[in-house]
Amino acid sequence: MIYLDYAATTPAHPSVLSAFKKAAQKYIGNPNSGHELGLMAAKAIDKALTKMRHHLHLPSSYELIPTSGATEANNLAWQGVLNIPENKGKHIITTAFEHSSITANANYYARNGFRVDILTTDKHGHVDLNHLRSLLCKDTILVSVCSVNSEIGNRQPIQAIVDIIKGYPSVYFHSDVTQSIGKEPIELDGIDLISMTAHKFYGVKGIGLLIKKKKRDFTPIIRGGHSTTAYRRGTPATELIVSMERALKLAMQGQITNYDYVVGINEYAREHLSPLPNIVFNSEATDSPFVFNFSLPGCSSRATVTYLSQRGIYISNHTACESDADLSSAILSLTSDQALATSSVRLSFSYLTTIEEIDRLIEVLRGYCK
Amino acid sequence: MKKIMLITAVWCPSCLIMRPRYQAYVQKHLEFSFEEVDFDDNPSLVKKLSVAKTLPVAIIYTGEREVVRLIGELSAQNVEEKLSTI
Repeated sequence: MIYLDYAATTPAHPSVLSAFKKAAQKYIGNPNSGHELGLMAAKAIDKALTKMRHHLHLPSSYELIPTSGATEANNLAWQGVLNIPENKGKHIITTAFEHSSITANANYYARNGFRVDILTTDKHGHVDLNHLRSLLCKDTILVSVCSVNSEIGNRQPIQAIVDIIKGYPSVYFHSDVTQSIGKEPIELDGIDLISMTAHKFYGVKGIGLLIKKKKRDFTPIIRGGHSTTAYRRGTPATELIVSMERALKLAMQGQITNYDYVVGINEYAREHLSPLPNIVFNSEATDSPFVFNFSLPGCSSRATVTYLSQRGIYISNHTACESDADLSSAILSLTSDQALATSSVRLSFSYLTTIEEIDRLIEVLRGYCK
Repeated sequence: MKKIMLITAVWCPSCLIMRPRYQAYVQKHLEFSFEEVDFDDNPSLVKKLSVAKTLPVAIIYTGEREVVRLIGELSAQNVEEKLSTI
């Protein structure tokens, strides 16, 4: 088996599974219970969240809200801001390179009285900061821009956006940093709302975070009784939260080494894939090395994924844009080329990826691209 | 009466771009009405209209008759040009 779909999900690290099991056995109480076992569990959650804040180099002016993953965190970020009755703003700014959970919210609010503007991007998929400046107005309430696109790997200038939005105190800046955390350095301070999920950095599935500035007004989408946070009621998943802290700690500790290793893998793949007939690279060398997108015009994305899957190689095509999922909206936005958008596939790498795996992929693709 | 029926989906970034362009057109051209239909919520209608492939799909009606169909992303100027002939 050759797995090259680490941007979709990563295998849980054995140490993370061990932390999960240990916490599940140790903290049997409901963290919302007032007795000693409950208090122990609540204390373990508090400790794990504080540690995660430290791992992310965030000051105590931020609070961490555990969610079921990045999709819930993205939904909470948008709805938590846009559903505040006192917020009068009806203008949202985002990009065409967001996760589908952001696009779905953008379409929902556009259909329900909000004005949604899409930032223009250059040929590298980087947002135009002058366009952002020109769009910001009294009515703007939310700007949402992901740090790295999951399909292409194009990075956005997050801190430059923070600097621009500082001049608009009523605007919330949200960033989905799911494809950056634990992979490459990212300065988070200054962002109002930050989304991430553990299973992208070798944690288990089912746990994520929305991190918010404490002073910003917010409203929950899941209501219920007293819990460890006002913004996500229900019984907190102690073992998931504890295991996420372990995953984040390991990811941050290994970040520099793993990044350098993956740069080498990406360069090797880029060099050795380039002789394939008709191949077009959609990801650039300056994009995140963890994501590598290319098109094979004339071969549909789905057919390529199926062909490789039948030979034990697991890669991804794209976020659905067409009804039959045969066109990539991200590649179409980047290239405006239908042939590239219908034939693009994504490799995503890890510190677990080997040169031998890349060699095997290329060998199989040689047979496919004749 | 002329109508633009715009078929969109919540997961479609191009729909975010095209919706305001059609709405702006309708605001300028009062003989047109605007109706938005969700692709996923209306499978039978979508099937009946043979909508497939790229979204959004704008179906332009004059009375009950479909006169033109515009698919995917188009510039505002392109929308203006294509609809001005109707």
